[in-house]
Amino acid sequence: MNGIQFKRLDWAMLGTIFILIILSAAFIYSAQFKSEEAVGTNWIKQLIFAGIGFGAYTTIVWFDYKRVAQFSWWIYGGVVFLLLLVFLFPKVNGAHRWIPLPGFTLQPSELGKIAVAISLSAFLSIPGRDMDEWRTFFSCSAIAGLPWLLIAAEPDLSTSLTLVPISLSIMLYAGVQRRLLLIGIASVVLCGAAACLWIKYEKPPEGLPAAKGQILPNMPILRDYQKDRIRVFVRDDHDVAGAGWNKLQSQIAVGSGGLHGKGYLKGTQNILGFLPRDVAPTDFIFCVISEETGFMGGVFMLILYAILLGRCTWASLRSHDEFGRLMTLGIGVMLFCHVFVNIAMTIGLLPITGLPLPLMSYGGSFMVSTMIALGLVQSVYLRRRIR
Amino acid sequence: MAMKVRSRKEASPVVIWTILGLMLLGMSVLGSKLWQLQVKRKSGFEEVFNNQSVRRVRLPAVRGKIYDTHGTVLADSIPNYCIAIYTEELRAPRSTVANTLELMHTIWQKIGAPPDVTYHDIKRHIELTPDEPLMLYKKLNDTQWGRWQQQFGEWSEKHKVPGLKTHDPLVSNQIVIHTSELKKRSTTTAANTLELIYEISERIGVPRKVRFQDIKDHIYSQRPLPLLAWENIDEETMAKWADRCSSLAGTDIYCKPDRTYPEGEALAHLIGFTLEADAIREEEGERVHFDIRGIRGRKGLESTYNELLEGEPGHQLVQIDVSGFRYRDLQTRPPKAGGDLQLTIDSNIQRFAIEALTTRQDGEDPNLPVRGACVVLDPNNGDVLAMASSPSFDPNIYMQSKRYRQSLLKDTSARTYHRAVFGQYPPGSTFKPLAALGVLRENPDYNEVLHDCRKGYKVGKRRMRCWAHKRGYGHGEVDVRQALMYSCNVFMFDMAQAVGYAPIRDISKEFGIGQYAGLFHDLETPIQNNSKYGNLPEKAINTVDLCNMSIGQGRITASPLQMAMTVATIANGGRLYRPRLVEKFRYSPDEEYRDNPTWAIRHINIPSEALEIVRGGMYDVVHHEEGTATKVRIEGVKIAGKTGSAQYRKKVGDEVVDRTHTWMISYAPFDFPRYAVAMLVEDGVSGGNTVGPRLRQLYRSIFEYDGTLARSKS
Repeated sequence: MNGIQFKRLDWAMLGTIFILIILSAAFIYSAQFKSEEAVGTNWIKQLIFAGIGFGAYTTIVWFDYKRVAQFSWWIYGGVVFLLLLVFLFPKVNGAHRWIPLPGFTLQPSELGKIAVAISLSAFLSIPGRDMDEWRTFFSCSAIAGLPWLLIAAEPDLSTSLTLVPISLSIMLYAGVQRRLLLIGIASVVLCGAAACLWIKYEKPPEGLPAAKGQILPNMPILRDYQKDRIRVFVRDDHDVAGAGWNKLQSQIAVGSGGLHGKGYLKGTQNILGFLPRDVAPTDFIFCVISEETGFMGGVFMLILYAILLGRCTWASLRSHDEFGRLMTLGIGVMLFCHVFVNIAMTIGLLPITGLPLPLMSYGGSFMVSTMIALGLVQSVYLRRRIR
Repeated sequence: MAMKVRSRKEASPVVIWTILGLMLLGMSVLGSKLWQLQVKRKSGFEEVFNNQSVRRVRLPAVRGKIYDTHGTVLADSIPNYCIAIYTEELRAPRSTVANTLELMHTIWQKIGAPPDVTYHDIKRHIELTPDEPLMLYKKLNDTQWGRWQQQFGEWSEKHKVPGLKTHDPLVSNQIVIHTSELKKRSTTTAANTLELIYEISERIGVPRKVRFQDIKDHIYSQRPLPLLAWENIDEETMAKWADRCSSLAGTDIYCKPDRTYPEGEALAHLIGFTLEADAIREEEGERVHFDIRGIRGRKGLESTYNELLEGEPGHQLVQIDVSGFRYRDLQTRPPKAGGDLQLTIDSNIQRFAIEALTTRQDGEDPNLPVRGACVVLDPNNGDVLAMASSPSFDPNIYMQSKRYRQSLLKDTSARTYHRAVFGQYPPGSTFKPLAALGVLRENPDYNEVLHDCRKGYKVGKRRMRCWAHKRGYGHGEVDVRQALMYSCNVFMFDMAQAVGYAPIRDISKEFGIGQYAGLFHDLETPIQNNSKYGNLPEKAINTVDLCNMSIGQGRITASPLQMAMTVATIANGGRLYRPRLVEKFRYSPDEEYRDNPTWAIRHINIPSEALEIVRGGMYDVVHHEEGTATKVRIEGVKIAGKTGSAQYRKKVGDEVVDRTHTWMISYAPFDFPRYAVAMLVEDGVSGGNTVGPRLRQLYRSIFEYDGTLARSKS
């Protein structure tokens, strides 16, 4: 049942999306603003990306989402192909993450997350699927595991980590080995905490002085740059001039914003370049917002995202069928992961990762993929069950 | 066969609600952390923010001037034109020349020997054959080579040095760099600065003056300030700069305040000099990051009145970005110009004093500088008209040349020593008028007393003779006035033994001998004794000591300034004035001058009969046929004076030799005195012969200058 019935659209969600996009352009402008003469053009590009994204959004809303379920294996196959294709292109900043295309660069891992949500939902929503069978569990693991491995090999650990809560929430809801999953989650959390503690007390890398108590031998598995992020997180004073710089400067920016902020285009941390100019419009856009608009602005952003997430869950609850329910839930969790991890790292609650803020951070493929995801949610809501 | 029951667990909305709850919980965690950061700990972060981005710059004020009594400038602030490099503006794109220069200088620093290529060579090489290697050093000697190998090893151990191939720079004592590798590297500010300095140097034809390390230090710590690449440039260079370099970005002429002393050596001791100010002490709570150093008075009046002269420095708050470049000025408090001083010194009389003092008399070694001092006071108010010390130094050279400063330290004639004030000499016979006044005040009848100056004279067992014994006679029976005229020692011995030390001591104290002259404490010899007589001996130990002191020797010392005050007081009849140096002053150039009042320290009660006798004796010294200072006489002016020759022993090598400090104190004209003079020459022959002719020359110049005498045809 294709087509758009405007009366049934979720206007609250659509409005929130529009507000976020406008704010995004405004603050990308501000993040690049140095003086009247030095104004970047990224905000225009961002608006163009948003336009492209909105095109994709409308198309997806127009089509019945059940078509997506039918094509889920094709989508999955295509994304896996793209994830493999990434390795053919040269490394940028030490990782195979991007496929250069004329005009912009594609980051297939962003699409990977959506593809996993779609195919997992499609797989689990087939009537007659037995949730208690081990085969179901292993199939699910394989569906999520293949992109996970490919993304982790790029390497892009943080993106691959967001696949975990997406898959887990879908599987939990569907009822695949619930007990095992819960036990698994608990043990992963424990392992993570243990790893953090280990890194906190392991010997510092060469060239840095050992703080008190740093005596444990080097932990295997994680690479040094990954450990560095965790070190910055667990030790306030870790390498402030190097690895800890972004964390410190981002905290200073947020902290000096105060209740009302310094005013639009007056975020000095970013104008003066203490907040590095390359990350200010992307991963640290929230930092710019809360420096310039203060606590009030920051909370306003949180409320906008809460509305967005609430509408996703609401769409999931009202979904006409199992596939829509699972998929929207997965997408909601994905958005939440991005929002939470990004803001938490900005204010020093989590280690610095490369997860952008949905709809706000500068970046083409992420903007488009977010809009695709939100389009799927809208599409599900549009064809909801009417009480 | 039992069909397997489809166990579809009821997909309860509980899971969805739980997930939504967790999401909202996460959001509120973020919100509370945000509250904690932005509201509760805001000020802490604001402080960190200010610390890393706000810098305070101190701007020096224009220093005030010092004038003489007629308004002639004695110390002036002049602009010192410098070619400045604004390193902030040198964010040029990559330049191979700059990279090459930077690498060359880094190697130069490591080896310590200048390379064999010039800037011109490098430019040509990069223009014509950029892909060929460039030979920096053609032939290093073995020490340099060893140093280079060691340093290069350390250098290239950690990372590859672009432009230097690790394996082949070590060939046959040569260093070769590959400019092609430097082409794509972005340049540092230091490299750009270096290139600009070389370029300017080539265009204006003046060799480079700043070292590479200076540039790096400047960029590291003082980036928002101009780097002064050439200081004190002359007009020709400035014209060349304007002509050939105005198209270059990042360079400008910077005007730095500097000090000049038009009178040069003449007033060096009194006025002093300035040097670059110390890094300023950090005021409480106000950290100054960039200190544009002003100048600070280091000696003489420049130092004593430094606070008045230097004005108040201004401050500027500058916001800088992460690389240290200036982003904007937050606040500027302009500096307040310093105040001015007008001295009582008459630069003409000062010049006459110097000329008279340094003119060599017959029989003096022309190769040795004249060591001495001369003070001219106005006896009617204590104004210091001239205060000269010889030998002197040139403060203008002193401020600029470190070598000159060091050479002065080795100079045996102590050129920087302010003899007129700090010098403490036995006054010798110039003390006799004072002793006579003291005795006559206590015993007015001493006027009548005659003492016999015999050829042989003993005090106890010790022979103490009148200086006249050298000529083979005594002075015979003399009274006070004659004793002053002849400068008879024996009379003084007898007189001192007859009346004791107390009257001499008391009047000396009243005249200020052994006390502070009242100039300013940091400009005078400190008084060590804690007694109420200051440096003046309180008691005579024995008769020999008493006799010695009665003729101004032994433990009695005085500075030329004090002796000038003494003679001025005799001339004006007992008013001891504080010597006044500053006539007027003001705290800023916009204000009116305020007077610095004359001030009499005390009125000394001297009976006019006693005064008349002593003045008469001093008149006779010059004008009587048998006076000791007949060489001072000038036609048409009556002059009173007293000579002095104070013997002392001094070590020259291993020998102990007798030397004489020769003195004269004098005032003129005799009836209505306008000038009181004390002049001292170290190691002369005698007061009358060494100082007398000099004093005559001084008086002659002064009286011609003020119109008392017709100008001599010369």
